[in-house]
Amino acid sequence: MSDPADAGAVGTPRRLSPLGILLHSLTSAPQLIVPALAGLWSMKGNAIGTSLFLLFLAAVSVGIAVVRWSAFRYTVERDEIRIEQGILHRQTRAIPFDRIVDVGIEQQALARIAGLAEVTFDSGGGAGEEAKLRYVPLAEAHDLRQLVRGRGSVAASSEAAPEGPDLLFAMGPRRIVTMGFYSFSLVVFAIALAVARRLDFLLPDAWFDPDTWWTSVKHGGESLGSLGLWVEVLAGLAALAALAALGVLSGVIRAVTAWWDFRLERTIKGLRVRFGLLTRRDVTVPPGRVLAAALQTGPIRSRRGWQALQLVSLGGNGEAGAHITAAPFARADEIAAIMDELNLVPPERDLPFGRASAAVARDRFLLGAGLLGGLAVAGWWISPLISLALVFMAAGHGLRTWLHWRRRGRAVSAGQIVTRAGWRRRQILFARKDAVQLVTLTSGPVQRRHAVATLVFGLPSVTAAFEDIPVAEAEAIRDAVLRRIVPVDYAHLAALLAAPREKRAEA
Amino acid sequence: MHPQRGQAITARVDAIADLLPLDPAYRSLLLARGAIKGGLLVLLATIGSAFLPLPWWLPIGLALVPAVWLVLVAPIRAYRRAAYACADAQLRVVGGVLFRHDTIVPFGRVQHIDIDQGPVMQMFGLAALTVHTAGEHGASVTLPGLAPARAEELRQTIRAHIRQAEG
Repeated sequence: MSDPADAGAVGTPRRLSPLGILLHSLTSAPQLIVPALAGLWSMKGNAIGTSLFLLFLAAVSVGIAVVRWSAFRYTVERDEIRIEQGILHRQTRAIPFDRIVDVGIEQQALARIAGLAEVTFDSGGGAGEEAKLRYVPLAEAHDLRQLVRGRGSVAASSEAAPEGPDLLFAMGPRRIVTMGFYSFSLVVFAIALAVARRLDFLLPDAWFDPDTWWTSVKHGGESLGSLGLWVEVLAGLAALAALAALGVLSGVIRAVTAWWDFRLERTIKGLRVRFGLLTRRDVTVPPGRVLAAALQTGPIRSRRGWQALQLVSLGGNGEAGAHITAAPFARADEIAAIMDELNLVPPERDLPFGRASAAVARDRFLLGAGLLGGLAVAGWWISPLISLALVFMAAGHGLRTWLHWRRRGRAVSAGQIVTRAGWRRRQILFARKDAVQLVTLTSGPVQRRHAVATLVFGLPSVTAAFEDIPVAEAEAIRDAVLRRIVPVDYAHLAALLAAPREKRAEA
Repeated sequence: MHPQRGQAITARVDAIADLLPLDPAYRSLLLARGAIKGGLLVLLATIGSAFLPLPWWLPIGLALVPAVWLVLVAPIRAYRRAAYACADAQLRVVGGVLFRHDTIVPFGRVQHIDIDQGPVMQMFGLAALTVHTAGEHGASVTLPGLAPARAEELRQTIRAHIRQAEG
């Protein structure tokens, strides 16, 4: 099957790895639970009947997998890959190499043990157009990727890339565990707390109940003398700490499973990312496909200078999807180095960010607050408590409006549109002007009062919006971007994006 | 050309700034839609007034104000605001009454083009042109209220431009 002499042969139909039959049977085993339980119930404890029935089920499931496997063939032709499948309904799908935008390789936990991989061909169109090979030996998966990359359109855009793999960024165990600490999950903490409440028989007597504490304090004079109260307080604190530790632990476990041994390399074909403990992902982004980069951080991690870098790449709704993490948890200088590699201007410390109109933010707040205030007055007749809640809501609304307005920013550089937004989930988006697909200017009644509008740039899989910007400035920016992109046809976009920065600066 | 049409949100000096009106039949379609919406609103208010512990005329009276706006004011304004331009290798679509939009798509970024004719549109002898670009969200723009022949003409123009750019 995977005879090395045969691997490169053109036009010979090939089969998937027979080991895949076993994997299929094992992974589809959970689907058999319901019929198995139904069968077991009807057998009512007949030992021979039960084992025969289970054997029969297993045989049927393996049988189906074998027939499927034998009906599945794929052929690598000179300029396309053909996949034939189906038992009753035969289907033949041909994918020309030059339509394939990317080849994804993924190894689930079981497949890794067996040395097999799942290969996906992404044709960049709709989600339904891709094709999958489950499973082929890992070496063959890489051969297939090389083959497609070598012949298809992907190769054309990679001429600018330097040679040889080169490690750009990696995360060691220590970094990943640190990341886990910052991923402390309030949700997990809350759930743990709720569960603990249900299981409070495991905890000291009703220590969640404020009454207990109150009585303890009231009768402090009596119980202070005894050690009882302090033991209870200490036990309560210990339990709370244990729950917090659970929240931290869940963050660490998530970070370790998701990002274990994260590596970002420069290869001949572009940037290659590999990561994951149980499911190892392996994605390569050719340089001409990176349209935008997003720098993400949070209010706490940003204090220690931790950021994540996400890339948005052209085409593909498949595995090698539009959003790729190039660095999950990194320092500013590490990120600057990666962005430089991608021809994106690295973030400067003090990028001259323009502010969104403060007058519009104020009017929006007043509008919302006025509405809530009116409701609060009306609600007074029902219950003053409702009014109080509404006033709190108005205050929260004001705080949110202010925090978001302060974070919101926009900047335009030679080749990029830059937006900054979000308070809890902070993001700075660097989008390439060349990749803009359409431009929209919108305005609502409040905005028109202050002669501002929202300018939205639509890129594949991402939008960049300049909110509440003076109309004249918006027009000037829009016209400058349009003058740049109108002469370039989409078909030449990848080549343009792949070109080194110096070359593009001339144009 | 209608001199007032340039004021959508912006004014530009290029050919693409010369906005063209939509087919007059589109105004009739908007008026018909407005009448249906206003009628529904009054109907709902009438039903509501039967169940609410209020004087019967209050809900209906409250509904009449937005209903009149929906029937008479909004369709006329929507038609006057709606405009398009197809020049300088770009398609521009302008519209909206309270919330206005002004979108420009360069022909070079068009992936495919649809012409739609729903049953109501057919009654009014209209068609809608939709231009799709790469990507998912908000990546397409629709130009409603064109005469079918004009929609076809626009599609030919855009397709010819794409073919020429690729060849």
